[in-house]
Amino acid sequence: MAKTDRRILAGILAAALILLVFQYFAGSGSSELALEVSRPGEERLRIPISSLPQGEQGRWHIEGAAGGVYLSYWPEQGVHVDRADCPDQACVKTGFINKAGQSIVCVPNQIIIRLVALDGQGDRGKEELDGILK
Amino acid sequence: MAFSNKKAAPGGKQSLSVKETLLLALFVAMSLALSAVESLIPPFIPLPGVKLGLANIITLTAFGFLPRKQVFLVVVMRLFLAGLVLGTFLTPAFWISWGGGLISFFVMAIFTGRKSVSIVGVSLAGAAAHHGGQLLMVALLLSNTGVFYYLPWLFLSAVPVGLFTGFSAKSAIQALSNSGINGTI
Repeated sequence: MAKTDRRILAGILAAALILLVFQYFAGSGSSELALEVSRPGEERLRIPISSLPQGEQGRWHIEGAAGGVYLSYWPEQGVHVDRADCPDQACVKTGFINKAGQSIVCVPNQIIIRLVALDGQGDRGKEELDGILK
Repeated sequence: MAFSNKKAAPGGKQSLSVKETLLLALFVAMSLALSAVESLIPPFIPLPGVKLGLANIITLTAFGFLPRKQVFLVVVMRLFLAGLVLGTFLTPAFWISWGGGLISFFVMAIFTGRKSVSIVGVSLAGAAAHHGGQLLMVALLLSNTGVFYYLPWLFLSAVPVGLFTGFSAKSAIQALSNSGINGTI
């Protein structure tokens, strides 16, 4: 490998490491987590994780471009997509998310589900899901 | 490995030689085949439509035999035809592959032809650009920057992918050179 090759390699690895370290410290705050649901052209929903129905108590549905996704929250493990109306099921395969910054992306439904740190005066009022399934 | 960056034909840019036309068709066909193979590989990160970029092997090989403008044609034709062949035409996955393909082309074009950079270095830069470009497209399609959470993981995965495509392209160039196609047109 030529000299600049090694520099390119080192540059890529350095960029990855810097971003990872940055993410680690950005997500290490002790503040409460909130679930953020975004769809293009719509206002973001932000729901404090403590006010979500837990485990068996409920799954909720979020409408999306291809039908929608069904989510559930398990206190020990995190948030998870149970079922999605899309061909690739990539969002279901993502599994559980439980740290700030982690996200589940569903491209066909154009939905991004993301965990964010809730900083004190979060938008606690916007708890409008399409419906909770029991 | 010598890269050729000569102007197309002395007569002007509108005329392609028979050899160039042939190579162009060959490279488009080969990269299309790689795109098809790649579509069978399960996603390596939980983002649908984000691919490894195996077709970059051919883009890199093409840099060794064709001027930049025609390598660009190889990339554009491959992206367009892959959409038709794989049935993703005009779907999100189609646009994501354009984001990755075009950005990696421009980055590789910048690094190609420098003495201090070997094909493996070009490939590494191209792989990182390919992954970053795809992520940029996902962010644009969903108008959400949250997906950049995956950027460090994509950069890390670009290293083995870039090394693989780089060494593959190196042997492809050698094989083509040995079969009588010379690197300068």
